[in-house]
Amino acid sequence: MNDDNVINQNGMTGGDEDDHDPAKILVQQTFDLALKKTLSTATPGPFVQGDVVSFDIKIYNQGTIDATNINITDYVPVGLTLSNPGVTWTVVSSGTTTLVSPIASLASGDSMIRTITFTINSSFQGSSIRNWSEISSATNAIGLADVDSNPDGTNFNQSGETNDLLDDDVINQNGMTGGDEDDHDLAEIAVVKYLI
Amino acid sequence: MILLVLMVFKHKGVQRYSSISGSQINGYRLVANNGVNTFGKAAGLGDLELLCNPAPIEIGNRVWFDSDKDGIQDPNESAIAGVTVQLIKDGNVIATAVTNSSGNYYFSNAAGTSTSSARYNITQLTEGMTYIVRIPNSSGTSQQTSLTDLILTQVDADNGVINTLADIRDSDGMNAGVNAEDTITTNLAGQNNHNIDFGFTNADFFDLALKKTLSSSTPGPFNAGDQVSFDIKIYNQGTIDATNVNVTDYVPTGLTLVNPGVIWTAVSGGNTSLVSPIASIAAGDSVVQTITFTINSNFQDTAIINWSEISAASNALGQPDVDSDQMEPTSTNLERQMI
Repeated sequence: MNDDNVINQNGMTGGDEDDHDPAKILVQQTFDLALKKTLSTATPGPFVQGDVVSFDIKIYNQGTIDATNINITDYVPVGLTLSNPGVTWTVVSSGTTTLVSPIASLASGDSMIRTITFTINSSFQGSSIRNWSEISSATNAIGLADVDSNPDGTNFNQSGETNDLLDDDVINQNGMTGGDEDDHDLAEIAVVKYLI
Repeated sequence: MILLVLMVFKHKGVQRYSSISGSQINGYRLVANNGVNTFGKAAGLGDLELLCNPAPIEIGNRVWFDSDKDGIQDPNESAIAGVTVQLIKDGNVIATAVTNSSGNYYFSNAAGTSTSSARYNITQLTEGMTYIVRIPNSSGTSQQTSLTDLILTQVDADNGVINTLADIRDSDGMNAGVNAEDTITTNLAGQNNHNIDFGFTNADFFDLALKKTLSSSTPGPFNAGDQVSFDIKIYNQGTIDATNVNVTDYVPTGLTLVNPGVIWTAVSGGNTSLVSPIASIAAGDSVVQTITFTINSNFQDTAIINWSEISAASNALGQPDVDSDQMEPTSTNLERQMI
């Protein structure tokens, strides 16, 4: 591009070939993933101790750049035990599981669901369970950062990651400016006690 | 004694006397008394007529820059100094001059002290003879440096008959191989000819250039899916009108031509060129052709560089572009590797 817009050099003697010229434009690109966690229709409940419960974790690519190598961290709460660990999900530390194989690619505008299945502990004594997930890592071809969230594997470490239901299923807020951290979401189930 | 005197008178001649003192300066004996009796002085020698040498002849005289190419010396047109001019008789160079700061050169048979631009004592320059006044290497690979990039202007633009008044201000040189020549015949002694002039002017050249910029109609910023237009400005930087100018646009990854087949059309190699080449661009003029693309909706990078090049052009003189090769094959974009 050193000879962009040059029209007075001699291409025959080592100068710019002045009948040949480029123009360059910059194209804005954004990298933006979001996560929504809902109860899977396969396990609609109601739930009692010992039941199996599945959650659908839906990853949205809301940006213009294709995403690669997306991993998800599920923060396993008290009362749930991962089913079939090591198959789709694997335990990385107490209370934390991640995908065995990160999502290889998610094109701009697309979405994808990963389902996680637990067993409600037979000794669970509470009446409800909240289960959080978060996008813990993702890449793209041009190295952009997510515009409105900070992917990591630590729960509640950012201002947009609140432990309440106000931002449940919200995927269009900006965690950078006080809104919901939209790569982080929960689902809640009620657990009823046997009355028999 | 008387006889002796008569014999002496049989010498015939003339004596020169001083017009100041009246004294004798010298004398020339024209008829000697060699023993043969001749008529006496009055009848034998007759009248005397006085003569001097023929008046000198001088020819010349100007080499100038004919900026408006009309073949006429105009008041604002400058001289060309340092041009070597030869005088040739019967194929032999008999004198050589170099034009001075006024573009003048002179050849003369008068006695005098020569300078580089005015040559005297040329005894072979005489009346009524044919000569060639030549500017050697006025063109060609050994062109005189004072004439670099110049060519002879048109000859005899004043319809001048050689040696007439109408010949005074026009150019008389014609190309003879790599030289410029004018063949002349000298007039009578004393009649100078300063009408042997040589006009030179800029050689015509063909030179196109291209500049590509983002069109003001699409200033950006750009997102995938947007339209972007580029202005491709073609300059005719030469002295010859250009015809049939075509442009090749090297469509890069991420851009798709809008309305193909209308102004631009796809050619080989993913490139596009004008459906109708630009019919004519006059010398000194420029023309803008705009090309519009859509940025592919799935474009995954942050910058796009789009090159264009003049792929074809012609002109009435059939000259190639002086400083670029517009005939580069359209299927390749060789200079792209140079960025």
